[in-house]
Amino acid sequence: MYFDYLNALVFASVGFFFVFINVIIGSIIRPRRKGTQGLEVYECGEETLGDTWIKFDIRYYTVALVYVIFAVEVGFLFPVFGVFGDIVDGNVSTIGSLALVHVLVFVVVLFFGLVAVWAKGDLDWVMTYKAKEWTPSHPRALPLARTVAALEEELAPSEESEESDEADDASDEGNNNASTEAPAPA
Amino acid sequence: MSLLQNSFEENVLTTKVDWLLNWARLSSIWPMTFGLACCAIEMMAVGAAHHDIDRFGAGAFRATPRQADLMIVAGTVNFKMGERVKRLYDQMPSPKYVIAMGACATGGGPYYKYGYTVMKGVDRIVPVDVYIAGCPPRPEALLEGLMKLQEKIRNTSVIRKPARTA
Repeated sequence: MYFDYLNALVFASVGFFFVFINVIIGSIIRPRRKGTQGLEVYECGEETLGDTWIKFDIRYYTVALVYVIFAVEVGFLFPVFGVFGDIVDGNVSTIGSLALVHVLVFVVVLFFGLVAVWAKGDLDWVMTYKAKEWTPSHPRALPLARTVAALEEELAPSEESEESDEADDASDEGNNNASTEAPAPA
Repeated sequence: MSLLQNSFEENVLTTKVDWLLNWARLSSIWPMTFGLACCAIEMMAVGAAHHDIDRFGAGAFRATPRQADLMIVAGTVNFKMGERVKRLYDQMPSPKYVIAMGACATGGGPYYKYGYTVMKGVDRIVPVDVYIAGCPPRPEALLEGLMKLQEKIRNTSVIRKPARTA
């Protein structure tokens, strides 16, 4: 009977050590990583801006809260205007104007809330990093191929020099012609 | 270099271990999901049912370089994209392989002469194992390139000392 428990024990122990045996074999066999280039954060090949361990600004929370207030406002206004036409069509017009004043007061109070939030500066977006001010913390290996910016830098002075060379050549030729022509009649 | 890499002479044991390791590597070459231009359409055709790259164990296209073994550069590589390609290659774990698929990735292709933004072959930034001709290559050509890569992996020496070339 106890042999069944031994089966379970062997099965569990093999399953337990299988993980560590594989990790050890992998650490022996696998190639070592040579540089730290590959340890960067993966962002679809883009260069990461700054550290990933940042305190994230939950500024969107305020915006979402303001949005919810006005969504609820619209939700409250819909039933009012659903019956508003019926009220005005009736004989008692004082109820209609009273309802309109109520609704306007409701909207204006909420609008003052929005103005208060706006004046307080809660709707301004705060950037964690500014891309132009950010510089990488450690130099990264650039690919061997020349970038467009490098090509433009290479091309820009060469055109000027070619033009100046051509101008020099033209002037040289002119001088040569002049010098060759000048002694000829003499 | 790992602890045991290229540190044993050839004998029955080491050749068998190498055979096992190479078999494991070549039977599950997971490519990275990575399409740059029209060659990627052919690569998708290879992944689909008709050509079915899964027959060679290379059908699991991974969405992250951390899990990928193979980078199929399928398409035109611009200089701007080249930096990203290099970074993605660096982020892949070893052993890693590169297939340059099509004329653009092989040597610039139709953009060789006037394409001022096009890199003249992806082998300027990453080491390429297999080049596949064509513009774009047929799906069968990509499959043959994959088989060539498998052949290359099959002949590598992992724990053996590398064979002398004399």
